[in-house]
Amino acid sequence: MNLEIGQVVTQIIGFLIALFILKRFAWKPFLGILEERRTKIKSEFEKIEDEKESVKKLTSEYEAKLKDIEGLARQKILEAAKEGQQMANQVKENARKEALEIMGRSKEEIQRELEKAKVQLKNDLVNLSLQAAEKIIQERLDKEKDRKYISDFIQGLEKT
Amino acid sequence: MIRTLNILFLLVSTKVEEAGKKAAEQGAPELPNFITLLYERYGKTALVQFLHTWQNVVFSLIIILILGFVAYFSSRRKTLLPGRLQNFMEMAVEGLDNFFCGILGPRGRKFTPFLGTLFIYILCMNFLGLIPGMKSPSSSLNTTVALAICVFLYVQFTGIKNLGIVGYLDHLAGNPRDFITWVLVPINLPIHIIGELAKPMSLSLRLFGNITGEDILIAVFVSLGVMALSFLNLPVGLPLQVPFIFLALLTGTIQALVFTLLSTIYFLLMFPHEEEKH
Repeated sequence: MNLEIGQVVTQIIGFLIALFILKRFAWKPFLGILEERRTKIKSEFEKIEDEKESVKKLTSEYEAKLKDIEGLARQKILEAAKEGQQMANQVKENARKEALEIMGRSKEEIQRELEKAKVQLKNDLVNLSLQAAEKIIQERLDKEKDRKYISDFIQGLEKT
Repeated sequence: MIRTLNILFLLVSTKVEEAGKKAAEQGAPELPNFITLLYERYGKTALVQFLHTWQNVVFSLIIILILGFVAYFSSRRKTLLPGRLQNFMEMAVEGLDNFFCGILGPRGRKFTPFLGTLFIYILCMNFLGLIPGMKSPSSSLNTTVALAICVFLYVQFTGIKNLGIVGYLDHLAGNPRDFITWVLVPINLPIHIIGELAKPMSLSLRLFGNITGEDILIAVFVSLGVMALSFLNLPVGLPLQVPFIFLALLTGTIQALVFTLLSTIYFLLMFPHEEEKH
């Protein structure tokens, strides 16, 4: 019960020894390892966060790229459509031109045929009138007078 | 049935009375530990007499050895992925560290080893008395005074280091800033000095009183249990002390915690005052 300085001092020394041992073998290593683990976990989390960030960035980049590609595709389609239309127009134009040409040619032909027909008709007409005239002449040729004229004509021809 | 019970009760009460008288003659009843047993047997030899005189120190030494071995073996192979022992130690260390840092703030990390060792050491000392053949070193005033002196010196050292000698004296004088507080310095200074001195006294007496009381309680109930069956001449007694062992576990923990918590607060009071307001 009563205080004894020797015992008190010994107990103080004992506590200090315990403090030293525990500080050396328990507190420092364990606090250190806890701190180490904490920083490690923290850095891992930060890394994960960073990776998430980069993935997000990549995603948005790819999305933008996809959008670009879509736009490009649409533009290309539009261009193609335009070209196609142009081509179609050209084909139409060509066809029309050709048709016009053909029509013009056929008109000319028709004209030509017509001319030809007209000429034929004229010739036929001349022939017919000649035949008619021949007939008439033959009928009149029986007559003396006419014979005389003709023979005269022939004689005249012979003379010249 | 009732008669036998009556007789039993009478027997017990007379025995208890006898025990009480005996205790009054001998001082507080104490459970025997292996050193007192040795002393009774070989009281004449110098070694046993030495052990008996220094029994509290011997038991403290046992605790120090146990703690040292546990600490050494748990930290010998430490890895980032802990085993069972390391896991337990880490849990204890982190829990105590969080506790002290919660009170002292981030600069409390520096005091964690001291305060944590204090807590574990006191806890082990309180519990050692519950093991048969052992004695709580903290049931001796010498031990608790030693611990309180350690805390006192460290607290005063921290105060001088943190506040500077002038700041420390200023703190003791009650931070005189204007006329009235300067006038009150002759009163404030002794009050503060007495207050500082009262801290280790209250710490040591509280721990000593609680643990001694708890040990006496258990000793009384053990002797009561022995006496209750003494008429049967059996070598065992009724285990009447069992509930009080649990009580002792509780009070032992609480007293260790109170001692450490109060020490922590004494450290906190020695930090610069601007820090406290945050």
